[in-house]
Amino acid sequence: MSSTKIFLKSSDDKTFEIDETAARASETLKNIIDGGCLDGVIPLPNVSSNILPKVIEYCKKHGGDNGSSKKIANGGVDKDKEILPDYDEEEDKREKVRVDELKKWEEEYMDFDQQVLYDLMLAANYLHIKGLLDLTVEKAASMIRGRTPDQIRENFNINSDFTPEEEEEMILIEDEWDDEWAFD
Amino acid sequence: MEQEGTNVLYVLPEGFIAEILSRTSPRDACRSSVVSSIFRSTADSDSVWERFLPSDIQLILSSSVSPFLPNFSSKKEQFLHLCDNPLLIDNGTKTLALEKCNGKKCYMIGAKELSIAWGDTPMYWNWPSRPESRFSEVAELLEVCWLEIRGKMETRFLSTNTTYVAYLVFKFKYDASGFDYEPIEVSVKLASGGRPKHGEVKSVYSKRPEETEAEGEVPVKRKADSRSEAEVPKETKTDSVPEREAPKERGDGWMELGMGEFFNERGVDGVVEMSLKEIKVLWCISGLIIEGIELRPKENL
Repeated sequence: MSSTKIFLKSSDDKTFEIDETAARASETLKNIIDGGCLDGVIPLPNVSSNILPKVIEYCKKHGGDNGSSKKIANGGVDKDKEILPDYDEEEDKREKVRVDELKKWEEEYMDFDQQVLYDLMLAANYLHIKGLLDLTVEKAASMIRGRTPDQIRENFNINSDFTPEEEEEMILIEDEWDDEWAFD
Repeated sequence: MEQEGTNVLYVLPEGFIAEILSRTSPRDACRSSVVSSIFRSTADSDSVWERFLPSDIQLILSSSVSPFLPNFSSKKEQFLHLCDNPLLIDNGTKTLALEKCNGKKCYMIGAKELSIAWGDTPMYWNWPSRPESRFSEVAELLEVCWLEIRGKMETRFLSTNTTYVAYLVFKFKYDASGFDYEPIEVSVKLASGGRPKHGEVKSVYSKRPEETEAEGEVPVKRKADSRSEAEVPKETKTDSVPEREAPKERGDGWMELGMGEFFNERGVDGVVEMSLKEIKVLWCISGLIIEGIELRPKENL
């Protein structure tokens, strides 16, 4: 692993250090690095010092492969796997262990409150870290899946802003839907 | 859940809400639309619903021969229309519909597109058109001693990472006979790159549910029963030998018989082959109408 260090400055003027390889997990940072603007510090006016360490933690874990897992890492070799019926079983097992370990890490990593979730999502979007964006959007989606409108409101701290008449209409729509889906 | 949490709408731009909703399901999006006005406009938006539609939907629509395709005002409307109104495609030989709960594709291969042993012989099979069929012709069995029906479908058209079940869609005519001697043999196998990956042969019952209770070795004709063929009893009882499958009512006037299932992982250049035969005993059978073979995602949430 290359040990070239990069410095990132948060919106509230705090500086953080990150390895170049890790920083490349971010498409935005990668472009800055490749663009040769490396002297000094990269300012990130949209990311606060609360969130930046969390982003760096993710990048460290996924540095190099952009978070999109195994396949890309060994490039051409993988294609051969498809054609040859008897690919390396050991390799397959190791891959599985790696994936399981990564899942467990992600689970622990994603254990935080909503404000962090939203900020992380915005940071991942701003820094173009696809893996992290996927992870955060997925977590938010899981707060909707299979929930009732009330539960969704509660999960996202939203108040219904419909007028009483609209509200009534909404309830009707909701019932109609529930009936339809129940039929499936 | 946390009481002190932040209102998502103050923090995330609408584009994010759309992205989040598009990762849920059509059902979740519908429920979300009653949460608040911003949720409503987002949950009904085209950017969310186009993600629930199959990615090749434009291609499918352009190959459609359905005569009355409405002009949809939104992707949501289009989606819901395709759930309830199977679209005739491929010169009218197949239909495509979407599963309402997850947007997965559901195909039916019309009888004309199946290979039916002796299907071309007017003595054995007739090809009438029936008002209750989505296809222009159905296969009507007059009498045959060798029932063999095969169909196939390229897996690249099917939804990926999905377990599909193949069903024979059919009905009995009022004078159907010969179906209670031997179980029928059905199989579904996935052939990709020439080697069959997963295949199973199982036997199922084809006979009319009301006859499962009648003992007797001779096919029991319903005496003076003026029941029309469309009114087949709701219940399918298989008390005699419960482990075998029997046909079920579909709710659209047809019945269906599970032929087997397969998992379509990536859908790369494979073909799934379905077959049904009753050729062991060579009794004469008659009075069967076949609409087609349906490939439908297995029930899931």
